[in-house]
Amino acid sequence: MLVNRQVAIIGGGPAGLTAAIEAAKVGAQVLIIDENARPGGQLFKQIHKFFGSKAHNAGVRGMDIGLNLLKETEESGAETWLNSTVIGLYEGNRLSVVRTMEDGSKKIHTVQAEKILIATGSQENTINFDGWTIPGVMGAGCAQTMINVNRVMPGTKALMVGSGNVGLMVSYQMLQAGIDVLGVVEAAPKISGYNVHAAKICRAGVPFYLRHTIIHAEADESGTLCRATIAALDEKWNPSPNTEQSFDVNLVCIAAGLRPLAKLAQMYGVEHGFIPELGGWMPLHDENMETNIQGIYVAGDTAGVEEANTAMDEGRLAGISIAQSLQLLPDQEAEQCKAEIRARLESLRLGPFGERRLQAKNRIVKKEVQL
Amino acid sequence: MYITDHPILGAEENTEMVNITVDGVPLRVRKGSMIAAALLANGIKVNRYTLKHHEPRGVFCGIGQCTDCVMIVNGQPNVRTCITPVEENMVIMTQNKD
Amino acid sequence: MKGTILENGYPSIEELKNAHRFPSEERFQKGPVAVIECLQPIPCNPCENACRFGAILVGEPIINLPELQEEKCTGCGMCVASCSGLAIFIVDKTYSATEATISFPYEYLPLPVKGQAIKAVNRAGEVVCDGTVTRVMNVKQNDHTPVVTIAIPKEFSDDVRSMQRLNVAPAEKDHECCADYTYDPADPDDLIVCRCEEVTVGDIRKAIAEGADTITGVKRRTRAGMGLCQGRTCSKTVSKMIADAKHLSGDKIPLDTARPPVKPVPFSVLAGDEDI
Repeated sequence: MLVNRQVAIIGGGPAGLTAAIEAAKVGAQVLIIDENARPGGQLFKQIHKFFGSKAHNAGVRGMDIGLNLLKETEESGAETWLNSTVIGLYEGNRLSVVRTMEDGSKKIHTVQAEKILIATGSQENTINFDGWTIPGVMGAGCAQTMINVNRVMPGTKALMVGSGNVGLMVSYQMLQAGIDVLGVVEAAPKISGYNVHAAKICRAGVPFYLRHTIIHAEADESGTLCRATIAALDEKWNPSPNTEQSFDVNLVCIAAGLRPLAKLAQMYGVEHGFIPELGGWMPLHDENMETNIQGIYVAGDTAGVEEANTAMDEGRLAGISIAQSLQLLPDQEAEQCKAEIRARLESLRLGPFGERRLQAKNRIVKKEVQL
Repeated sequence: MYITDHPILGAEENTEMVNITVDGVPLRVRKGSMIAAALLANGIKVNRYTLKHHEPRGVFCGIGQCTDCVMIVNGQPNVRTCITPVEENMVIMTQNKD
Repeated sequence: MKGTILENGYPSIEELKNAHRFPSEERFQKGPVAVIECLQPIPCNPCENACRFGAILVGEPIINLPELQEEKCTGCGMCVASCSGLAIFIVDKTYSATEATISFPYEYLPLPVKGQAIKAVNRAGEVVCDGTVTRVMNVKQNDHTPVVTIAIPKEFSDDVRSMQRLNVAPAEKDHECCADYTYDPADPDDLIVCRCEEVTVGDIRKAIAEGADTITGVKRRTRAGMGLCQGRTCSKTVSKMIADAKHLSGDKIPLDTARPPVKPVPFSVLAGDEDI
């Protein structure tokens, strides 16, 4: 079956939903396609109060921002296909979608759209150590999903590997769920996430193991995790003998950063650049979030890994740009809205934690990324 | 184990359950939860065994990307259980168990 | 106290004082006052709006550290639950002749109740003294960030910043002496890299030695990245292994080819079988 829409948005997370809202509310015919049973992407697992500017959701919990976005999406008139997976993007702006119908059957649909936004998010990086494939070793975001979205305990005693904001936040959220966090292991000589996040788990008595790495995970007779061993790192970042420490844990979380998911953009020939500070290879975009292929946009973590606040603003920027190019918004009004969003994005990228991302984003927009 | 009360999420409101079987064993699990989560809540951490070395695997990314949690659901193999909700009378099998 | 905030995870009193985070002792002697333990320029400003007396200034840019106008602060505590970083405390050194009170955000269950005896902890989570809960404030605008106030001996008022959680036994730290695994510095050739196809470090090293210098090249020789996940999980590791082996930077290792279907899909669906 061929379905025609003005705008197709792949991924109903923070970027996809804000883009859909901006485009649909001025009359664009928008279809959001999401492979999950519920839209909202990773917002619903973010149960903490957001940072940022008070004028834009700071102090509000991510899950509540998610609920508001779902309401606004519904009010905007955008159409949503859930449990529906985009499996390919082909010439002529055609998407192949495995759509789950109301009766639960799966049908293959082709969606053709004038404008396509790829907002498929990111995936957690892994680190490889002896035993990392044992059930019970998982991404920090995975544990966070299990606890905060599914409300189940992925384990009772945990070790966190990585002290970036994800590692710190998920450690805190594990404590809130009643999981004992025995330590946070970090290869660098200092904690890499926000101090206020680290201070919270310090007050709860969680120790940090800086200049350490995990070297071993061990399974019990059921084949699932029962023990993990860490070791100190020497000057060459290799584990030092006789520094091993073992922990009885049934959960090891890996928080080693994220990388953009952009296979669909890549398949369509969108120009990519290698930008380590935004997660490595990623599709490049202009100041309207449009790629080098006219009509194909990217936003959120797909366009470089940051956080939900920036994803939502990039989504808005893409949505407004799409509406403008469909002549649904007067240029002057569109430009004014976009300028406000760009200023806000810049302020979210200020300070020592954001400046490398800010510089990278500026290089991308000014087309200074080496290809 | 389900998290019945939580400082931020509050007390669990959705207590409706559905019946499933996992490798023939009947389980009552929370309606609407993802298969992998419903299994974790019941202490089941192994979703499949690998083909080459027959090693156990469980949820790893939790968001449908890594495909390590695939199981046989109602006869269909390779179903990503972390993003597939449980349904009444679902028949779930550990993939490549034997 | 050894180490800095970046090593300890929490600020020392000296670091807080040096960054002008502590109100003056004079102000402390006048009654309850906010202590804003926020030391890094991050984009955040809800505390500024939370104070209805205008005692907290952030301004522009929003990475400014919040400045407390101590003479305007009434110690009302409205800012405590507003701080997304849970970094604001109310300290009242005038509570009684011998005791001070500390109010702190406490997002754990079970919540303590008024009158309950608790163990007061410092910024490192170490128990420093006994305390008594004098108030638990958990109104709607706190949005699930209860603010607990405890009374403690006055001499600990600069140190105490929380209480020991009620559902957790004190951490056992005896694991430090009982490692049961010895690190083997030998190359971990049998370590799995591709979880789907069970391709090991050794397999990939061999492929690289045989001339594979791209992710696709490694994939063709070893099947790494050919499984259900389409290389989403292992391709970055493979890329790094090639870069390390060939002494190249990451940008010199191109992405592997992207092909549909990017997610697993039964052939019957592709074929349009109505019964799936």
